[in-house]
Parts: sequence; structure tokens; C-alpha cells
Amino acid sequence: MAPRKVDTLYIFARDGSCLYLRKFAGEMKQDAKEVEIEKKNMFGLLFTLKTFVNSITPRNLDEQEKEPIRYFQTAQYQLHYMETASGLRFAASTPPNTRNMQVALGRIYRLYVDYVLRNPSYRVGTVINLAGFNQRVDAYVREIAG
Amino acid sequence: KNPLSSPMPIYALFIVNKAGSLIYHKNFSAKSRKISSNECLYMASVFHGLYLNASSLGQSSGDLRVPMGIEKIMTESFRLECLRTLTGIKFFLTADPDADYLKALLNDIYIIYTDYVLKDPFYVVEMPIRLSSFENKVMSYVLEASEKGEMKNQNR
Repeated sequence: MAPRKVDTLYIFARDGSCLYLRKFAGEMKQDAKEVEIEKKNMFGLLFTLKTFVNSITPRNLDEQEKEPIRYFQTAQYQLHYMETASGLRFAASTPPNTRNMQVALGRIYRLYVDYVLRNPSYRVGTVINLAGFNQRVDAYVREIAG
Repeated sequence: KNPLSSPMPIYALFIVNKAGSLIYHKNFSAKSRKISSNECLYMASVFHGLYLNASSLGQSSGDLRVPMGIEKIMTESFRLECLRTLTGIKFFLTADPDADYLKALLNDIYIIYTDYVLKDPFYVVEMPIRLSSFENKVMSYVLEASEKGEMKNQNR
């Protein structure tokens, strides 16, 4: 499988709160305030992007039920996006021109279902702080990085 | 044969000025959903904001000299590609997801803009573009690119 280097992984709940933010490359920002700003900006961007895509799409809206956005790209990064039927949003940033990561995001969703949702000590809708989930995500990200 | 009635892989062209206002819009496919002109104006400005947001999220330092925002959006039903000039004008095209020749077409459209719009002595920069010479030239380039692009895809 071609290497897909994930730089950052975000998971957002339906109400916009960030349940998970994990950087795999570079350092975590030291300033907690900056991290909060980044989370809010990212959710705002994803929300507005979705509204924009739904308005500008050339096909009729009732034809699509599945979330249409796959990714967007700038000169500096590429952001892959997946939204589940329950409104959970997964976003992964990678270097530009990485191949489609929809399957990878799906696998990460599976990991979320198995190691977060099914964890009896986890309350749904709260920030994810589970060692098991972190380990599995680390292992998977390493695996797809080649 | 009316070129607008055949399935056209390129759907629309938008040009947004430095302030984020729409200065040109053209639908190339008769099949695209009808978007009201107000919605067009609104969506163009939304894109301008998205462009800047995406740029600030990518820059680790707070240094915002040349914003490097969204160049491409891929969805299940269409793709959008954007060219931002050094003067802050944004050209963006929506097209079929398989249309991979948009970058060259956007550059061509930028050249047509400089030739037919900027060099027009009566045109005021950043204002809406209402020049038939520009429209005709863009139309012919888009038709040519989509036909060539379609042929390239079929030969694969």
C-alpha cells in the first residue's frame, strides 16, 4: 500500500466539540489557548465547507445521501474528511497529493467504535483519553505510513 | 449541435476579486442545478473566506504574506480547482471529478483575463466583468479543453 503519512487526526462531535486531536508529526503547540483556537477554526472550516459544497454542487441534492466531500488541498497540506451518519466528523491532514484516504478514515472509525464507544468507562460525547484507542491509532497510522 | 446540451465535464467558472466579491460567473453545463444569482454572489464570498481559513490553518507561524489556501476540493459529484493570482484575484472552476486538466485551463483563463479584461481601456479593476469578447474567448477555450480532456480520458 502506498505510504499515506498522517500529520494530524481530528475527531469532532455533532455539536462541534473536538473529541480528539492528535499530531503525528512535529510538536504539539505548547499554548493551550492556541490549541483551542485551532480546534474551533478547523470545525468552522469543515462546517462552512460542507455548506458551501452542498450549495454549489451541480447535481440535485436528493440524489446524494452519503457525505460527498472526500478531501481538499492547499499548497501546504491536504485534508481528508469523513462524516458518519451520526454526525461524527473525522479529518486527517497529510502532505499534499496523498492518495484517497476514505478507506483509512473508515478504519479509524472502526477503531473508534471498537475501542472508544464500546469502552464502558467512556461517556459518549466527551473528550477521548483512552490509552487503548491511542495505541491502536498509532499502530494504524504507522502501518499506512509504509 | 448546441454545445451546451451535450454532457459537459466543466460546470462553471467563478472569478472573485481581492475583496472577496464575485466579478464573473458562467455556467457551461445545461445540466447543472439552477443557482440563483444571489446565491452565486454569496457562495463566491463564502469561498473567499474558506480560502483564507484554510490558509491560516496551514501556516504554523502567524506570518500571512501570501495566503496559500484551497487549491482543490474533491467530492463524489464534482471537483473544484482554484487559481489565486499574485494580485489576489481567484479563478475557480467546478467540473466532473475526473477532469484532471483544470490547472492548465485555469492558467489559460487567467491569460485571457489579462488580454481581454485588463487591457480593455474602459474596464475598472475589481469591478464585475461584462465583456462579450472575454466571454466568447473563455467559452471557446473551455469547450476545447473539455473535448480534449474527454478524448484523453477515452483513450486510456
